[in-house]
Amino acid sequence: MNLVAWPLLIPLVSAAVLLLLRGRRIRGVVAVAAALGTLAVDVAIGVRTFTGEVLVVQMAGWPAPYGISLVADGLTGLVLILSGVIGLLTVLFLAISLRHPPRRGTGPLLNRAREAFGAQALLQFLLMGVNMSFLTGDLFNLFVAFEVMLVASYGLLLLGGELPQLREGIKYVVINLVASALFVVAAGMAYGLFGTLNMADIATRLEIHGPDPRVGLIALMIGLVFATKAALFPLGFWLPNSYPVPTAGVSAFFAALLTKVGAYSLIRTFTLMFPHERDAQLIVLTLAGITMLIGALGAITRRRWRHTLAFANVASIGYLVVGAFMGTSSGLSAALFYLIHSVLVVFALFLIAALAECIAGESYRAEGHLDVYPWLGVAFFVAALALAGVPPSSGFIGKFGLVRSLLEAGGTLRVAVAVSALVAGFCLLYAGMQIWRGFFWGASDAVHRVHLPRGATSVTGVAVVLVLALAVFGGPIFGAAERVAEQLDGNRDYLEAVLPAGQVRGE
Amino acid sequence: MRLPDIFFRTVATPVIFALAVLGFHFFLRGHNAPGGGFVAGLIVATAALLARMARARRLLAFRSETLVPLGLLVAVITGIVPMLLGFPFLKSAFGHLDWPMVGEFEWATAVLFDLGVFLVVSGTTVTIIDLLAEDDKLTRMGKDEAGGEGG
Repeated sequence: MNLVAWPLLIPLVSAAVLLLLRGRRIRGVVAVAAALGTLAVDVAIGVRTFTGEVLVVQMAGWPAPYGISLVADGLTGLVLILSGVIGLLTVLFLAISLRHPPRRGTGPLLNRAREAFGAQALLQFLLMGVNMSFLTGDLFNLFVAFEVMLVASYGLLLLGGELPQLREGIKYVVINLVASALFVVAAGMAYGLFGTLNMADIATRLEIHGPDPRVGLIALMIGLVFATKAALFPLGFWLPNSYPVPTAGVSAFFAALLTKVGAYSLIRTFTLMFPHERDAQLIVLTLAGITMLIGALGAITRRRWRHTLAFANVASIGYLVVGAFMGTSSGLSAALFYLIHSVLVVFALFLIAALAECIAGESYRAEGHLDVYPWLGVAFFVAALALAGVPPSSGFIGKFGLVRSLLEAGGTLRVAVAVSALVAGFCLLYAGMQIWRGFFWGASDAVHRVHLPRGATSVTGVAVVLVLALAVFGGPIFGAAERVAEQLDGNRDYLEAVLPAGQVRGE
Repeated sequence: MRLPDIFFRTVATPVIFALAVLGFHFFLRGHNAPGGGFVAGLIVATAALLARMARARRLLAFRSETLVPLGLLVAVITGIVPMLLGFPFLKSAFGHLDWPMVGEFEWATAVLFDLGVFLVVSGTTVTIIDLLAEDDKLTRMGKDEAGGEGG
């Protein structure tokens, strides 16, 4: 049986079941089982696609340009595995943080009222939307996937109804509605121009179509839509304040995956449909270069855990998009490695922040926690060095690859972006040092011992171990990223797998 | 509670039935013409709203929000069953029946998917109307569930 549709179906079915079930414990069990099942399917798809195979399902059996195709190539396999891992850890974190509510500072962990309103079900809907946007081979279906994802994320962001949530929720909803409207307009224009919305079909038609300014306009519009979703400067002003407001596990999931879906869509649409639209690519590259700096500088200015990390997340999106849009295959493979790194390290840091907020509240200006919580200190140390890109961490491997391919490609803009990448790296290191000095360093006389739920600490531990593992197995994983980037160059396997035989222009 | 106007109540009853029949018509018509589960769901939700206004009580005896996950499950299972039988996801089987009196009649399993859509749409709409009508219900629902489970 073809596995490609299952990463959508498992979360969808389990979300529906979760809405029907009464009882906290059984809901937790079902959610964890669903996340495990999704991860298993994701890994099975990933293992097959890394060998170069492209898996396709045509919905209801309608052939490619007429029906909706679900496609899994190496890039899809990579991001599916990431979403499976992060999904499972988030579901566990939510389920466990419920069972043992901490005695003090319950704020950041999920509470019962939020769970009763269906936090786990919404998370499954969100996972479905995320996986759908990874798998779909159709531009309008991609829009639908974004809407599924957004509606679920509105719910998760606002669940709890606290004042900051409502304040930031309005901005989040409005900016996403505007971006979605622009997306529909762009998709409509693409349909008017090409007569199809199947991305593989558009790609082959573009080869025949030749240069056309309207194609550049559509590419730019779609680029801006995904740049908004990925929170590139200046379209990402909503992110740093809105991601810290939901409950901790949810905001870790948002930061680790949701913005990366925007980055993934940028990579997918531009490698598949618009590899020749140089102007649109340069605009996105410039925005990404500025985003790195803005994110890193913003991280320095903030004095609260998750606000600092949200800005750091913006910076890492900048790195990721820079790699994808510098226009060389080595840059793309470095970006793909950086994508894995960024997802894992941001997730780990947000979970560490959740524990720290349970201990001492939102601000990280509460010194002396290293003596009382040495393991939290070690975990933060590892993750913060990886975020800043200090050798021998995984961040170093990714950033080294990015800067090297930027300098190899040459040109004023790319060298400027490389310099800003290095400066941003130092700023992120400084932001990490500030948290270290503020929270962990100093005399521990005034520190209260708070009971942390053991489940929450162990999930955080697993997340940090994954960050370490990425550095240890950096070589083979970078090799896999290079193979995926090769597949994306030209996408011939993708096109041949999706479209009926004979429609792809052969060599 | 004071009951609504007698004329309104009297007229509402036949109109509710007419709307229900109209919804059913649109539901079946949707296979090859404009209509379908979404439109039918909205029409039936209108009937529910009218019933609520005329009789000052809820139309359904059970919680309308349970219709949403049920409808989702019906729709998804309609898609999954063909996969388990070796066909593509969402593939619809169809055929023709020759019934006495009615004549030839086309059936398709896609109608089950539409049924799921109908349940989701009508469930969502009725729930929204109920929540707007009883504005304290939102808070009560949260308290019931959060407190009722103990632990």
